[in-house]
Amino acid sequence: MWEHTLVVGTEKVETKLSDGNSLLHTLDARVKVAVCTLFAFTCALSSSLSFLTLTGVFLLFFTIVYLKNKLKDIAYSLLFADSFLFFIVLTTAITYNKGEIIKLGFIPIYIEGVKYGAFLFFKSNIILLTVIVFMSTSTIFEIAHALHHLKVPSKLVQMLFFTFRYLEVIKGEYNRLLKAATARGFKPKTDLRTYKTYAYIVANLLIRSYIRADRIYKAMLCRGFKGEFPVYKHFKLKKEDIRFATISFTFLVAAFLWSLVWKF
Amino acid sequence: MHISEGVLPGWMLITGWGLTAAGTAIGLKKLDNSKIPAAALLAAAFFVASLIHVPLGPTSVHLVMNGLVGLLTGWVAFPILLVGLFLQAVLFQFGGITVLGVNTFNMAFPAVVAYYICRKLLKSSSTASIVLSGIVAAFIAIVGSGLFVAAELYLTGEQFTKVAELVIIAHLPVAVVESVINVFVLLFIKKVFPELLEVNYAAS
Repeated sequence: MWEHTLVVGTEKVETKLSDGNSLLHTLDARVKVAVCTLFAFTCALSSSLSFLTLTGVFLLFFTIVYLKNKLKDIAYSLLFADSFLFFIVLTTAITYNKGEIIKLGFIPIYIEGVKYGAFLFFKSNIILLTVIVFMSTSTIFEIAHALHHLKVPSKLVQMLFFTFRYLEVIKGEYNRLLKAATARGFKPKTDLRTYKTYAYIVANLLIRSYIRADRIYKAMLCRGFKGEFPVYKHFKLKKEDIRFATISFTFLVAAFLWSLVWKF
Repeated sequence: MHISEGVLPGWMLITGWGLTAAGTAIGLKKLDNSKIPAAALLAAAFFVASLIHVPLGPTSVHLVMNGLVGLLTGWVAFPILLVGLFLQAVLFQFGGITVLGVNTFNMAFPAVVAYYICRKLLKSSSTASIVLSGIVAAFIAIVGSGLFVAAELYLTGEQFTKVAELVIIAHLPVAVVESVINVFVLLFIKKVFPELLEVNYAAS
């Protein structure tokens, strides 16, 4: 999935979802990050199907109302982004070793295993949807700024900022190196020459990024860098932000209580 | 290998975040202000390197290079990998927010171990010891993180026993490919820009 997004040399490395001006995009990133963390962790800690379903409905409401023209992208990244999940679901279905078995040719399939796998898949996707709805709708710069206000160490935030800022540049560098190799007849195969070529490309990438980082730091010093970034756009809590936070929080508590009383 | 959201039990997610927070705190404390851009661009370079799919017989494996991050940066590997994995989670829904702690620890801790075991070898000027350090670092980092993933799945419940075994097996060919790449990367850097092997991220 990410290959798709990154391989295109000129396209920006940014979440496709972060451009837009719906309510979800204009909400305060601090509130969004906080709500996202709260939702993601309660879902991860919960094993109640009713709680997860209720949360899923809440998130789907946001998705359908505010991200309706991105539904295809969202479905794609939910279903296909995670090969590890597929791997887990498949192997549990075959190797659960408990309960009834259906034979599919040579392969035994455990009903309990399939059920368990389906539950994991559902739970995992609810958590992913939380991140998509509340976090991927902000730009990385907004998230970094929000993390700074949420007391994440400043060095870490600066690293996040720089890494994201230069991701595209380094990716461009890689594309150029690869193009140069291809122009000299490089065709990837399983042999030592291929590995050597890739290794030299990686080594070049590392060296060039180090030299570039040195230039960046010197340029920053020239402009009076004293260990922190001045911020031009300040966050200001609006009425909508408070309303959104209250509704989300109330919903979470209500869904939690509901699933305690009313299991389905 | 990233563990997906929703698979591991809560106590493990919280332990993972705790360990990653501790490792990152040590890494950030050691990281000198003037080296923040260098560490960040290294993170970007490793992010891009992990997009490279190296052919291996009929399939391909993607580079992980956490051993190399460890060799070059020591404890700073923690914040570097944390930032890289965070970006993958937000940009591509790869891995996730709640398992970010566990995933970072799985990759960064073996990388730090590799640093302490191999840094003496790397200082030597003989080719043989550089080759050795590349191989050892790749094996410790890749097999180490494979073992962590397997152990976490194993502790989650008996339904994952088979998955845990498969995870370890799947990491072995990756370790071999990665050690070959590591050796050539280190030899190239030693020849072309040896300063990079001696950069001290702790002070300018």
